[in-house]
Amino acid sequence: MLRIKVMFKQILKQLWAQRRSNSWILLELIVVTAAIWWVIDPLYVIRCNQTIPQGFDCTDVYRITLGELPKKSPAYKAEESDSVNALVNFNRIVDRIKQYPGVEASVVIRYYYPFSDSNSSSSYHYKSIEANAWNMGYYSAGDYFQVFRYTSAADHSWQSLAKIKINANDVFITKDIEKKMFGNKSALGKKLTGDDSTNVYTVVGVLDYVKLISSGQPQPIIISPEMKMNQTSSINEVKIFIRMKKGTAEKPFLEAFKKQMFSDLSIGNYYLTEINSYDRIKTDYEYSRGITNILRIKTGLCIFFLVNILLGVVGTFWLKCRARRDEIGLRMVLGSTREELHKFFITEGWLLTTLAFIIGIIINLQFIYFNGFYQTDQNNETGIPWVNNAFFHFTAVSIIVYVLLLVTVLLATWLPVSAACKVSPVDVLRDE
Amino acid sequence: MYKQYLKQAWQLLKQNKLFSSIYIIGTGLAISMVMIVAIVYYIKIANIYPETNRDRMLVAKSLSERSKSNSSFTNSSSFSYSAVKEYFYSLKSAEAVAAVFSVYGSAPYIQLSDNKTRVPVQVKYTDDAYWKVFNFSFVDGKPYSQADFISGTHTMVISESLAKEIFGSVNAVGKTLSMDFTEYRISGVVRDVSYATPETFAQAWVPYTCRDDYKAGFNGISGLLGGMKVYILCHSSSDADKISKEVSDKFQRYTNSQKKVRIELTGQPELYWKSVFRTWTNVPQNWTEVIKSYSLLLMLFLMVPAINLSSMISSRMNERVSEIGVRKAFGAPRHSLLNQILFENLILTCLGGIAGLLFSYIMILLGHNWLLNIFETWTSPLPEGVEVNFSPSMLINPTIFMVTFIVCLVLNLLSAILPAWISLRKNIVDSLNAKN
Repeated sequence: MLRIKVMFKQILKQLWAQRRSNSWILLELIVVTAAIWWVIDPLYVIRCNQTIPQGFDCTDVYRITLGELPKKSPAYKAEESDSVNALVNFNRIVDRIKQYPGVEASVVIRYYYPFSDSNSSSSYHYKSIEANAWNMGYYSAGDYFQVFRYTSAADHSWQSLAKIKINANDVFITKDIEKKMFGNKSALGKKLTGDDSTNVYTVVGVLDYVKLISSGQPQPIIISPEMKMNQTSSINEVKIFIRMKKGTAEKPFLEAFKKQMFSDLSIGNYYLTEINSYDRIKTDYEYSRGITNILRIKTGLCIFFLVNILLGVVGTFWLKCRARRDEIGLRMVLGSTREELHKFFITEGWLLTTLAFIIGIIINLQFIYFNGFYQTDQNNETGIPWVNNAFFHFTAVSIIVYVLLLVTVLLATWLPVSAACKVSPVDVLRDE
Repeated sequence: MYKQYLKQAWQLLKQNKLFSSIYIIGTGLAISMVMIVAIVYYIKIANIYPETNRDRMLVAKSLSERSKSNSSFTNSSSFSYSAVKEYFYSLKSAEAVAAVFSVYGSAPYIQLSDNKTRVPVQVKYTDDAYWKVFNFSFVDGKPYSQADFISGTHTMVISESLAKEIFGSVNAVGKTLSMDFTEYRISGVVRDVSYATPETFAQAWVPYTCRDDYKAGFNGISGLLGGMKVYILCHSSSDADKISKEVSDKFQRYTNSQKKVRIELTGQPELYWKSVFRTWTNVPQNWTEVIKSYSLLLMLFLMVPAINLSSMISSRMNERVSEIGVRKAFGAPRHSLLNQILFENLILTCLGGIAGLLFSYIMILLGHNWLLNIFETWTSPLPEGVEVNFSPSMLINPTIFMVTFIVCLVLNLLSAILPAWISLRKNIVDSLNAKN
């Protein structure tokens, strides 16, 4: 105990004696503490949100897009696109897709699905309670829940959702809407009204939380099946989704599918334009929303700052250790072991880091007070406290920052110090 | 004298290899970060094939219509054909005005003669003035003519690589190909365009009059909303303000004549380089915000390493105190000592600059598919099968070298002046007395 006390006293004296060279390091550590906090904050939020389950399953799912021949094309036949034949032709295409080897389930969707190019939201009412929700839909003839594998809030399986019999104006809602509208009671069988109060919807199923972007928090969703295919709907509005057997290799499947289906799916004036893996659609969706860029920039900046500290501390401590070679020699002669010397210098590094960290955090608190944290769409019903609670959030990010700084600084002091300690005390003292 | 400094600096560099290498890596790292930003913006803003007239080009990509009575009602999109015709094609003072019609949805396919294979192509639907506004170099043939454009003849200009892929040679003029089940005659073949120049990137160019839907526009009150972006080539960049004002005045007159609707251009048409920084199409550019965020980034890129280097320099100055003391004792004035220290460090910094520039090239080539968009909030993913290629002139050019050198100088001044000054202030006697 006494030894440690003496050591601390000596270190503090040393820090003070070398305050000029230390102040540079201290200044750098303060700036980096303040700066890296803002780099870690979004990384922390995004990474935390990514641990929340998506709520559905994208693997082995593919999206098929059809096109229609232009009217000017010589191959265009006007009678194939009349109100009757257009639908017949479309259904033949869906049947052919279903029969393709390895297709486990399929569903036709108009407009909105997770990661769709456009989206729509509206408000729903139960008595006086209003909830906003993203609208999704599908044609009830398809195996929607088998393709996307949303899970039921009751037993967390998709099978129980797929079994539900659907009538007109039935809807599925996510658990956050249930919580908001009905508290702890079940929403099943309850009736919701839409914006204009003429439409009344019956809740037939409740889904687990669904995230519409993996870096975000769960969002309220209402899924309304459409009973019949609308004959006037344009081919650009509908997409066909299929789930392949588990473990279908993406690249060979896509190649084989295109090769066969480019000709097989040319029925009437329709033809196959694209098939994309749903994973790729998800990646593109997140990229186009700048999430990928944020992750890349912040990770890059984080590495940049830490490497800078590493270089700065290694450089400075190296020169410092050389300048203090005689001190090191003397300490060794007086009976300090190499471990004790290590401990001595490393404690010096630790004290510097902690001091800088405290000052940096105090500066940062001012910034947070004025600007707040990094936020994605926060959902207080479903979000996780590690992100949504300001105290947890601040503490967690600060701890990460402190640990990162400390590890870097300790590594950076350890390298030059252990090199300096390799010298023989005799040589050093002779230099004197 | 500087030769003497150089010799001495070289000796110091060799003497203290670890210090020198850490110093060079530190500067290199800082400079490479700044240079990545600089190169990205060079590629986005400088005159680069085929957008060689960017410095005298105005861009208008969007307008919004707002209701005069209901403040929350807004429609925003690009321009409709009638808006382009009425307000842009009629501009007398511009050298040329081009419009490009954007089509959303999946890329069209070119059907090969075996009827089994389809090649997706990136297509731009343009007018004939497009070929005047942008400087494409034709390997074979020529662009489609005004007559072709007006009559909506199915003609096409294709890129060199597409010609090679489909016809096996670049001599494709006069041949036909089928895109989305429609035949097109090829009028010209151009040198490939990189995805790095987004306004011109395509593999095939077609008159937009070939499409049935170019006149349709979107639903809106004014009928001015549609899918067209406009590029105005001015005679010189000094004309830009005048032409921009001419356009906005025309729209203002339209707004004044309407009861219900107000048209907002949010500062467009704007010079090309300004359009690069635009985040929202329907909100005016917030320049203070842009300047703030980029200067913060640059400051972090330079300040953190500068403090770092200052710290290293100041540690080293401690070692050289006695040397400085001797020089002072023999009458060296303070400013010449300061010069020497700055010069010595500049050599190290420049070595770091070269290393940093090389490192930034490596980073840019490694991240070629995404690095250009890294600072953007809204990005579109690369179309399948497309790669972003950089031509050597985009990376290796006098502007980039000049910027690198300036960054070196700034970093050197930032990091060396203060520690050098502090150590030179020491009393000669103390300096001479110092150990080492």
